[in-house]
Amino acid sequence: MLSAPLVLAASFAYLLMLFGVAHWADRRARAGRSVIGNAWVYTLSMGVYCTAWTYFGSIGRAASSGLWFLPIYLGPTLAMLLAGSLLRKMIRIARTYRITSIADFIASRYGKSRTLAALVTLIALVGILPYVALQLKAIASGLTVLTGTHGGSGPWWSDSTLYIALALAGFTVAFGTRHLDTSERHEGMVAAIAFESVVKLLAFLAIGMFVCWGLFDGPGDIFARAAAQPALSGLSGLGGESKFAGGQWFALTLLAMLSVIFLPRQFQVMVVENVDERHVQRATWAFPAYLLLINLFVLPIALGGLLHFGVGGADPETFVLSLPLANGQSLLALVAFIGGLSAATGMVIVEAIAVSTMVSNDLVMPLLLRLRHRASSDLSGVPLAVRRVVIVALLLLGYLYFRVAGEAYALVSIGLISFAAVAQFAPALLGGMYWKGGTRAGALAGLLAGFALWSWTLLLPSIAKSGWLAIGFLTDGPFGIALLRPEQLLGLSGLDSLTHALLWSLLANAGLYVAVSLARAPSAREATQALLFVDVFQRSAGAPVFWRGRARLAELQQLATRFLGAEPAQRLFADYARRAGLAGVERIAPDAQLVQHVETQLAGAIGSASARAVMASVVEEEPLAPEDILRMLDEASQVRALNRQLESLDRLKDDFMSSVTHELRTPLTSIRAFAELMRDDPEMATEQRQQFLGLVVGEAERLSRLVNQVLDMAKIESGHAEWRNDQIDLCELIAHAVQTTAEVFRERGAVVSVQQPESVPTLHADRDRLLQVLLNLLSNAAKFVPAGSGRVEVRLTVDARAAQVEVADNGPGVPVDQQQLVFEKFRQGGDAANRPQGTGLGLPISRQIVEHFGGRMWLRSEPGRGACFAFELPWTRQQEETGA
Amino acid sequence: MNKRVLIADDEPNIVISLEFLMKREGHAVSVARDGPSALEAIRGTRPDLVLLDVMMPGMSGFEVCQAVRADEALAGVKILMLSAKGRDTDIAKGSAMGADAYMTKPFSTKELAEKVRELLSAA
Amino acid sequence: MSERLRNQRLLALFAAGWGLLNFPLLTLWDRAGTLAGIPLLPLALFGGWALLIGLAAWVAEAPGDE
Repeated sequence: MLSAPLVLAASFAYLLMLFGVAHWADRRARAGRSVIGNAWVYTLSMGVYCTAWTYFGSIGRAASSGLWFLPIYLGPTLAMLLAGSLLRKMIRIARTYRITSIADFIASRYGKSRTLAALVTLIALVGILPYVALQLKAIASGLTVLTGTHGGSGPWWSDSTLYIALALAGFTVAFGTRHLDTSERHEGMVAAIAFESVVKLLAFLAIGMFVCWGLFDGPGDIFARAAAQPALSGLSGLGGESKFAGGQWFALTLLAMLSVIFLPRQFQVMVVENVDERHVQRATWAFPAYLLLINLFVLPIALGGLLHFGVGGADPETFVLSLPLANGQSLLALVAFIGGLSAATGMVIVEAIAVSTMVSNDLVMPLLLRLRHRASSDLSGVPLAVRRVVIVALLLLGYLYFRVAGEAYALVSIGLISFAAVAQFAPALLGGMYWKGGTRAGALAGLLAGFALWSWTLLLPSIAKSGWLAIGFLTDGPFGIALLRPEQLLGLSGLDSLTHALLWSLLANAGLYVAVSLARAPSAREATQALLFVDVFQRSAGAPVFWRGRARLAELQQLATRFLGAEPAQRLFADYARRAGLAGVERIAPDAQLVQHVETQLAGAIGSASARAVMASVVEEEPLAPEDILRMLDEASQVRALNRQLESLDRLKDDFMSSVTHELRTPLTSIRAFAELMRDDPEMATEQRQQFLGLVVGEAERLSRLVNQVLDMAKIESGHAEWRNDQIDLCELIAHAVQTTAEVFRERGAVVSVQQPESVPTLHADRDRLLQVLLNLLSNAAKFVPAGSGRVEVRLTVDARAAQVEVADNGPGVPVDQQQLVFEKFRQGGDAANRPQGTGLGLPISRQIVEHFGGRMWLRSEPGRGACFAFELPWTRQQEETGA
Repeated sequence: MNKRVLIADDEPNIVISLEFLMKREGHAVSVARDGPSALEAIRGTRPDLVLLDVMMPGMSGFEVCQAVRADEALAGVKILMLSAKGRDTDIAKGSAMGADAYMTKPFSTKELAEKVRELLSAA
Repeated sequence: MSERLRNQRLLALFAAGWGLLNFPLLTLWDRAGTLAGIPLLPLALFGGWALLIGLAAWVAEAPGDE
């Protein structure tokens, strides 16, 4: 037995130490040297999952049903395996859209619905209250065992538990509500939580080692002795009496798996407080490792206690305290108590902060705003004040619940009831992240149904079993309707109450969610939010802007002042102006972007649903049609993310596409027109028909030439062309080209002469492609030389670096202003009236080919004095990429 | 019906087909092969209808249309624009410029004839 | 390894974990007998659990391609 003052003094000393850690961390954060930007700290902060339940409840459960305490920790292990994708997505969404709580998350996904936010908050509140009471109960029991005084009974003003509860409230207020951080980060709190995770692990391991090697000869000894006693031998097994045992194990695992994400405190540390997404990687295995370590000695301690005290000798839930005490290890017992206290305080602090944020943002502020929306009163102090009040109220209510109902019901069950409550968030939240079809109505229906069934099958029975409700409706069903018995709904019996409740509530929840969502298409707002959430990894630059309307700068400033306070508001606008490169705040254009920015900042203080409502009151919004929204989303995500070069390339591509379609449609127009004319006039003169048919054939040929060239061009440009490189003799190639075009020149009465050196080194290139270039240049020349007196000269010169080919003609030449244009797609020289048959793609393709081999092509021309097209090809080239 | 139609297009084969079509409809046809000469021809001969191609050298069909509509004296000239571009924005642009109708290439000769009749009868 | 591969492997571990740490496979171990003084079922559970964590650590900590 220890003296009560000693224990209390030690407890407060520990709390002060926690306070010190938090304070230190906050100071470091303000100095810019955060201590929590570390994957290990992140992992340890998740340890807040292990509460006083781990210290007392697990052992109690192990003592009565053996290994059945384990699924509560196996579930989170499995959940963490999915953390890499699931948790990261949640973090990304929360970060991108500035989501600060689980209610905010769900509400935001379904169109920033205030109703949903309120409902989720209520469920969380009702669900968490018993859990808080549980922590207080654990502390009370611990105190009782340790000091002999009866914490938790007697007049409330002398109940030390009450004072501990008040101390916790004070601590939480001090660290959770110092200021409004729009990201809702609490560095000090996280550091304190990580610290206490270490404390409780070490304390538990110490007890475990004491029991195993201090009281017995190691775990083997304990198990051997337990096996010898028939009452205890079953505890090392699964005790499979129930035919539903498998289902129950599964259900527990599933429940724990969901809770590790959806408990408000877990969401807070895992998602909201996360500093760096990459920390999730470490936590994936490190957190399960923590859970394994802390559970290592649970079974030995339970068995050891039962062996030591005999079955029924002492309350198993406090074995961690009674065992050391009974063996003279008072210090160890105190350490164990501090460990348990640590576990309890961690849970309470984080849970209280998380829940108070939700209540403030999603219950109180919306109500306040609706009542006083016209008033321009300064509401900047209100969110903080509300949170403080809620924290204190939460703890006091928890204490009340503990006094009133906590005695009759074992700790174990209370915790699981809370788990089952938050598990109701699963369909709406998980569905919302992966299914774009989930609608607000579906989420509402699912949540209401799940919550209702949870209350009916778990909450009410627990209250009844504590003696506060007539037990009749439990045994006979309400109004005697046996089918509606809370623990055997619709006659489903044989399951323990938890599995039974979980089955019905989740079934109804998920079922209604899907069914109601499918009943009606999502609204425009829901569809866009769905897109933003489900596709969050595909979208880059942050949240796009949805506002289309007008606002006045002064009104926006007023709004910011009203909710954030004068100074933060000023800073907000000054920062915005600075980042936009404006001379002063007055210059800021009250456009959609500013509105969005202000709304986001407000969301940090009053929740996104309220922020949106408040903004709507000052901005004249133009209603957006779904196509508009989708177009804005498109613009926002593509255009802003791409750099300007990509934008202009896009424009080029569009120009090309429209040119191509235009070029393709032109011959098609003639073909169709002539065909129709011939069809509609069976009496057409044969001559006329022949003329038309000839034109049709010609245009068809033109079309296919064009298509081929376009494909060629596309292939070369995109790098998908095939290049078959070989050693080429340029002299031979030129001779071949000239020979091929000889007929064309003869027809026009033109003469071609070739000048080339004696010997030429071989060039490594694609023969067919180079031939294509030469033929192109030669045929161009043929088109433009004057009839009868045309002269074309082909000159080949070589030097150490490259080979140069020139094709010069004595045609009209190209005007200076067009000399660059000829290399552009679909441009053709000459006037339209006597434009020779061509596609306008020959030169661009030739240039691409030459450039592919590291060379360049150019034009030299004086109007009236002919044109000279030339290209050079280096002997060795730096290949960016070879298609060969 | 015997009206005067001006065909303004730089593609020779399209001109041939349009010419044939309009003559079949019984109209008197004249031809312009680029923007400036089209505008000149309109001012000079005051046709009842112009089949105006958008993509022409010198001056685009849009510019010609705008110029014609800016001229009070040419208010009686109907303009039917022809283009290979069929996007809504282009059609809107055409109407904004003052075209009486807009058809995309390739067109159906039946539809074109129909539209021409419509425009010419609503005198 | 690529992020996608990592996540897929973790998903596989997830499925494996559900299978191994659940009925009915678990009942295989529900027999009398000890190994190093520790009864089979607790040993199997903690052992399997530790194995799962170890594999997860190996997959999670492998350097990714940045």
